Amino acid sequence: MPQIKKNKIEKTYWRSLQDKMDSKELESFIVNEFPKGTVEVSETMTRKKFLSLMGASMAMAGLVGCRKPVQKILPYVNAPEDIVPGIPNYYATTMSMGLNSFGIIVESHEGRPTHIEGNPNHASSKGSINSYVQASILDLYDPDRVKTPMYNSESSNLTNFKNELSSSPQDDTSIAVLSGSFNSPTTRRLYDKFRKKFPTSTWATFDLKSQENQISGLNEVVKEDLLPIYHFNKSNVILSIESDFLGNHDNSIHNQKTFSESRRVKTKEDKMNRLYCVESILTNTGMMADHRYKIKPNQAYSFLAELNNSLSQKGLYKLKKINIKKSIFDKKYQKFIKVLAKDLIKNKSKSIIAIGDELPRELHSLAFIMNQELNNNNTTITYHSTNDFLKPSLASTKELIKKINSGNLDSLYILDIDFVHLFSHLLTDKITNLVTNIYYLGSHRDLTSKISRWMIPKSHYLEAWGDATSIDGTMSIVQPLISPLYKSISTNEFISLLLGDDVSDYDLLKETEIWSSKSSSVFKKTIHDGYLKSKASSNIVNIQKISIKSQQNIYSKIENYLSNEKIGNLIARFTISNQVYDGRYTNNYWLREAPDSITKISWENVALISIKTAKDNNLKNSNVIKLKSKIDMKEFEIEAPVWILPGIPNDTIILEMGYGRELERDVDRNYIDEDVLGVNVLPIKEIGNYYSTNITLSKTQETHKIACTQDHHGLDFEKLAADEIEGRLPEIIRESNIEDYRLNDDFVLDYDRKKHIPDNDSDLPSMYPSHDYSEGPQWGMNIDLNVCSGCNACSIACQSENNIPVVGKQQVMDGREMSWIRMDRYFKGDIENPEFALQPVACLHCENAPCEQVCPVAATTHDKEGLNGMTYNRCIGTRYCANNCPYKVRRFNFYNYTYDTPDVVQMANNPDVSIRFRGVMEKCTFCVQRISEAKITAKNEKRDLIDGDVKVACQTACAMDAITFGDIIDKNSEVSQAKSLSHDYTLLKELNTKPRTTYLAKFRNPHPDLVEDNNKKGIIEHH
Amino acid sequence: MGSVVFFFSYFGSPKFTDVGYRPDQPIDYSHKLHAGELGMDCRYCHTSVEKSQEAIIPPTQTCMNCHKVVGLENEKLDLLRESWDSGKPIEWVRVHMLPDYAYFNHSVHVNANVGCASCHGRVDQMEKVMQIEPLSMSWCLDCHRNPQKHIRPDNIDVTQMDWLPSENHEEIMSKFIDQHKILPPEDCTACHR
Amino acid sequence: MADTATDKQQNYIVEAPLVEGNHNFSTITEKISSIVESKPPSGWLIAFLFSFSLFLMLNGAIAYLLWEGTGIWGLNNPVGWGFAIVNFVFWVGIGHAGTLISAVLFLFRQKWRTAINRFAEAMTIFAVICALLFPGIHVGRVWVAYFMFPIPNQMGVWPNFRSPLLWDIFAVGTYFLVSLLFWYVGLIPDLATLRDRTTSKVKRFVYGILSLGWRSSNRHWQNYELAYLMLAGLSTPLVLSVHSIVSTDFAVSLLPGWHTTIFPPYFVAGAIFSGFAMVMTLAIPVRKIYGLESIITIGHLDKMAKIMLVTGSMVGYAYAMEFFIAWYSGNTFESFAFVNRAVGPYAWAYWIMISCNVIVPQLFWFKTLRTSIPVLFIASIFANIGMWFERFVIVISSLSRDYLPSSWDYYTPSIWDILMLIGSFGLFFTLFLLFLRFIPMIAMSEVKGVLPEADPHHGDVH
Repeated sequence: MPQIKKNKIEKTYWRSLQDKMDSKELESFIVNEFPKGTVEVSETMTRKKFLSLMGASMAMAGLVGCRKPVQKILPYVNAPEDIVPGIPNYYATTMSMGLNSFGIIVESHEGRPTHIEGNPNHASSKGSINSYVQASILDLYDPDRVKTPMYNSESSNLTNFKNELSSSPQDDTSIAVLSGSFNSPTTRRLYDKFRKKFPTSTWATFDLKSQENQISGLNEVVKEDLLPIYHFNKSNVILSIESDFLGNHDNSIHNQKTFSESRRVKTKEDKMNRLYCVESILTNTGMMADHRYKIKPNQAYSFLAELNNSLSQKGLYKLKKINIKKSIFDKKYQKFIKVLAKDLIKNKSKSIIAIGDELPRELHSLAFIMNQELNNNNTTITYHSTNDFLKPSLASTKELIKKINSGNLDSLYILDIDFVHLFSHLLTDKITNLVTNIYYLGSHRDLTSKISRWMIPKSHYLEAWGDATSIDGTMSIVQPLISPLYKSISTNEFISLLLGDDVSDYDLLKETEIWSSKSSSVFKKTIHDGYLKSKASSNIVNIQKISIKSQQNIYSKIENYLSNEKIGNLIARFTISNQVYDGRYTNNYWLREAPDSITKISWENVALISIKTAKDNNLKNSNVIKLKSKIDMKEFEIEAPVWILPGIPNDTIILEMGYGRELERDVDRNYIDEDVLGVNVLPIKEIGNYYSTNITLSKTQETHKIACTQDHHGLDFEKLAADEIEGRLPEIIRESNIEDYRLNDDFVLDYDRKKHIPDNDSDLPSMYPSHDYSEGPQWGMNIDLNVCSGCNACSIACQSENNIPVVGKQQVMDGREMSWIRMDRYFKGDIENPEFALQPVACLHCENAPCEQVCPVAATTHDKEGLNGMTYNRCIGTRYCANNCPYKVRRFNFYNYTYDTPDVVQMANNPDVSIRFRGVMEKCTFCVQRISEAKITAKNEKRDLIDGDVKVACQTACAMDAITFGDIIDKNSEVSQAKSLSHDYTLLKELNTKPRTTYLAKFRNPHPDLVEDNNKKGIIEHH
Repeated sequence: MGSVVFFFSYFGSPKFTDVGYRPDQPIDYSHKLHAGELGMDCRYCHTSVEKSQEAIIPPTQTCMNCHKVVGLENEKLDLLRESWDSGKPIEWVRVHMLPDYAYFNHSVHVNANVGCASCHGRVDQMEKVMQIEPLSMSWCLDCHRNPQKHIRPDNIDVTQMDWLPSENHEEIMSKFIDQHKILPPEDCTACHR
Repeated sequence: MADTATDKQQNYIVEAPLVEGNHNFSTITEKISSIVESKPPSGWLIAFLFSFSLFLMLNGAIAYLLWEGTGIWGLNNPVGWGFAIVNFVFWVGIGHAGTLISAVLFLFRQKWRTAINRFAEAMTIFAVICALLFPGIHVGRVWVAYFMFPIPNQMGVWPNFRSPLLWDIFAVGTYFLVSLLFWYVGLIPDLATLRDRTTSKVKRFVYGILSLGWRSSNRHWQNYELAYLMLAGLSTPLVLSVHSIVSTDFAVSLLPGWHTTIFPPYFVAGAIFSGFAMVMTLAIPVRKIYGLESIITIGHLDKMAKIMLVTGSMVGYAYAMEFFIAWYSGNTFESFAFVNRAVGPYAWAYWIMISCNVIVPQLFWFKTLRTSIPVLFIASIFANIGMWFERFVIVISSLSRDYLPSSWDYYTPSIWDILMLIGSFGLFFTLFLLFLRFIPMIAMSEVKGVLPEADPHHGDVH
């Protein structure tokens, strides 16, 4: 039971750290946070260290903000030149993920990074971010990070480790390193140095989400290591085969930006791209598709082969036919493939065939050839050299495993990979019996750290110097925002220790050729911009046409696969999680709690199955099943709860990887159950395969409760509800085929007119005199449903900007999730092949707000600028406003969710927003803190606000640019422009709430020849 | 009943509880001496008052600018020198405290020509700083509703302590306010986020 | 006026005597005061201890609520109001019969009221106390609940007078005060009687204080009658206003199933229905245990049953009307709200409501059933249950499924919800039993007034 002391009540509202922090233990922690000596590294470094030191120590000693007890102010002793208390600073840095890296701008309050936004000039982020980047700030303040080096799980110190390294004899062959792939020039330099020093040692690079097949598949034909970058803005027709390029993809931000460019429709004249999607899982990309055809995981071969054939039939005569004994596809698919081929050829050099990373290499080769014949290469698809990257290599990993099993390995160095979680099931014996010494650089005390001789804390990327390269070759700097919170070192520092020299990450960076070659002014500028401004840095490779005849082996590979593949009746398809990625975000509660935009499930993974599969095995949601598989003579089994999802192939079980990582945690939170880990599905997955066919399913007696935020208590199986929803959705989500829109451009009014609702809100009668909104600015928002892919970036950004608490699985199950932006997901059409609609709903800031009128204490009121304000400290918590809100966007603090937020996590809080106490209602405020700041700045500069002065958190985060925000009085503002479009509509207009947030209708762009295949039934929601 | 209501609404109000709060400071720094007799400008120490929400307490450094050379033998300043040597900040006691859910911004008020004295009183006459206004919500609103009293003409410096409004000050200022679009907000959202 | 007069004439002729057996002033006094003066029957103590322990449990539950927060209830995002509000509306409803009986029937010169008005009023007051408890504790931050009262404050902020919750406070508050006064004024003569009869010093002192030096002089009686009449006039409109205002909590919102103009009259009818049911539930055992059959006669029960029949049917009509209007309005949200009640996840509650409130009262068409004690008792209990479920259905089924299907959810009460519901009954019965013990449960002075003896022409020979 939570202990709420009375004086805590005041504490929970706080504005800035010096007001908040009052804990002795934190004071001590901050003292050893900055070990002596680390301060003098370099001039820039000093400033940062210093600033974070002072910022933090200011933080420490302040007392709580009420009259008694007395409140102390601790000024700087020696004020840093570039920091004014109360005014945040912004620094550019870079976050690497997989083989790509994103340029970001980090907001820092008195040396305390609090919020991340995209770097507008950086090629791979273009001013936006994805949910991973956004949430990565929480990892910095993760209270469960390893705080000191650990020697056999006993806390020790770095010097001991260094001594041991220098003393331990280094026999090359018995040394091995396991790391993920990386794109940092400096790390690459150190890697080469390592190889030189220990030539016969093993260095394995493993990514769970690997692009190896992509690279090697291209290498097969081009004889060069390349990665493609898709330019959707230049393409009319896009075919995705198992590729989630809008969702879980290394280059997702670039993809979303360019995709939305050719997707967005403003006028009847605008063109709109057409997206075909062929996939065995349900992805965000699939939900955006105009035509989505589900295939079984193994059918990608057949599909590409048949597409290849009909392409060559329909005009790409150069393409070599692949002989197929007998098509496995039915009429519908046959027709689809023909139409698709026609459409692709019709849009030669304006189309893209994008195929999923996991797919086997020969298919990547084949796709390349098709793209070549479609003249897409070098036009809509550019290829970029990956020579500077350390690429993932399955072979090396397998070799490492073999070496370990053989037992002649005495030191294994693991760079931030949870070895045990990933591979223990592949070992012949307990790892400790196989390898003498394991040295582990990691951030959490996971299964691997338990068996490691040395566990060295890894610095967060906001704590370390470094560099990174994006797929397009942009060279970026990684600069620290704060000096390491714990006794941690960066990957580069670790490798340099292995090399026997002990150099700081800053110097390591400076020694790297591309940086050492630069003049200090250029280097400074690079640090300021976050990336290197120079044409030279582009690594684009101009592809020569390759002759198809020379590619015989590819075709034979495919043919022989087709001729002798045999499939069990059940297939397990493995995919990367949208929440924990490959497991690295296991302890990131923002990502864990954000409901998956497709399943709406938070905190855990499930075994997704189709409705038919469920019927066949008589399974219901949250039944637990046992999955067995045989991998080279060994039996493996896992147990997982099932969840039924429309639109996935039958006899296929979709399993999300990355869950089930067991971590030791330092702090235990009252409302967050640490034991909720999900299931580790890796044991039944053959390493390197993305599906396995020899699976047996058996139902167990248990059930496992799932926290799902949209389909509570299986509404779907209740006819009454399903029918009602079917009737309602045409009103809630307005959509049209692009062709119909061109004939009837105010189709959004059809529904209203049928219901005798006047076209414009002003004609609706009201009993209350409306406020006077003639004076600007009047804030409003518009959300373009046509380009929303439901990637959750907005809701995580909102969580970061507005200090929204995490409430834990139990509370989510009780229907008390806190997220201010609710991502509504609806299915349309028949259950087997539905279409999809997504709708983010946050507070719509109604001009006739029903909530305001019923609040007995006027805690929620309207202001002159049309904001529906929420005064937390006036709220007494009657919850009447939430009851009366037709959009149900208000969130109530049923418990004091923040009372046990660890001090270090509180450092992630935005000082400009109150922390809400138990019993207080909260909701989207249109980022009122940002509006106030902008207004004050404008006032101080004696000028008027201009469009773009205020950008709200969700808006900047959205890579699709679906959200526009601004002054609706100013007719030229972005938002007024959007609202003036003919397909702009008001949600639940008939209630006359006059919301300030309106939606742009969704368009679909089906191929005329395939329309009748698209189910013409109204939308219905299946859960 | 009525008396109970009165009791709380009077004795509970900041006017009663807060006005006159005058805590001891670690160093008994005299604003009377510095701001008054020496006539130093407020902004010499409270540097950020024009750009930031906070009008910071100066870093030890600022004091040392002068006290490297003056008052060397004054043992009142031992703590100051100690802080300078050790690098440990001086723990000043906050006098003017707003609740943390009220977001006050110095810069916007100063730039709107609201004099320091309007809220902080004649600091230049205080040996030890004390709170002279209730700083209650209704007190803020009084000024936001009719600001002309406290807004100064452009030619008068906000930091000037002894300035007194002319008798026709208010109508001059109401014009001034209109033309400079100084619209003090009265919405909840102005201060509460 | 005239015909009421004639009615009276006839009443005098046909109406059965209001007090059976050969009671006279002294026997009445003896009978009723003795209950207070003598030791209570053993049953009383057991009942009291039981209900008091339930009351203690309620306190425990409230303490935990204040400690933990409203999260201990079964509430969730769409369903912001649960048992607390249901109980509030239920108890306010119960509180209706008392004032109706004592005030309205008094104005209509319904003499039969005298036997039951005293404890009907007591019941009212206790029920309203139970009701007032819930709005108090259901808010998220109880310690700032005073923001609701228009008190001058340093913030310079008033409450929002547009909010029905604010109206509630005034409406129920006034109702409580007036009923209390009304009840007390009625008590004065009887308290004086007890004062004069008692032998113990303490009692004499206490009753003496309470009876405000009543000497039953002619002037006293004149003022008393006037005051009583005025209070009756004052509280009559309140009977209607209170539950009408409470109903606006729902009617004013725009939630399908709440947003309907029929609520005020329909809530009042329901309230009277449940009020009389509760009077019946209490009266039947009491008259048995304390042997008051001669004063609270079958005739009384019969009359109450008739009123229940009327109001019950009114409620039934309201249910039907809601459905009709929902369909007739052509508003899909409205019609779904009601279909969902009848066949949706909360259908069970809906059908309990219908059968208890509409079907059961229909028994009272038959005199035999109206006059059979067991039937009356059981029916009255059913009516209470039914009325509680009416509020449950209105509050929860409407909230759980409103406009956007994405936010639909299902409400299940937590153990704390249930404990507090039971506990509130504990509070109610604790108070009621104390009343039975220490205060004459029947208005002696008034009953005397309806005795033949009281008729000026009593004993005249023609």
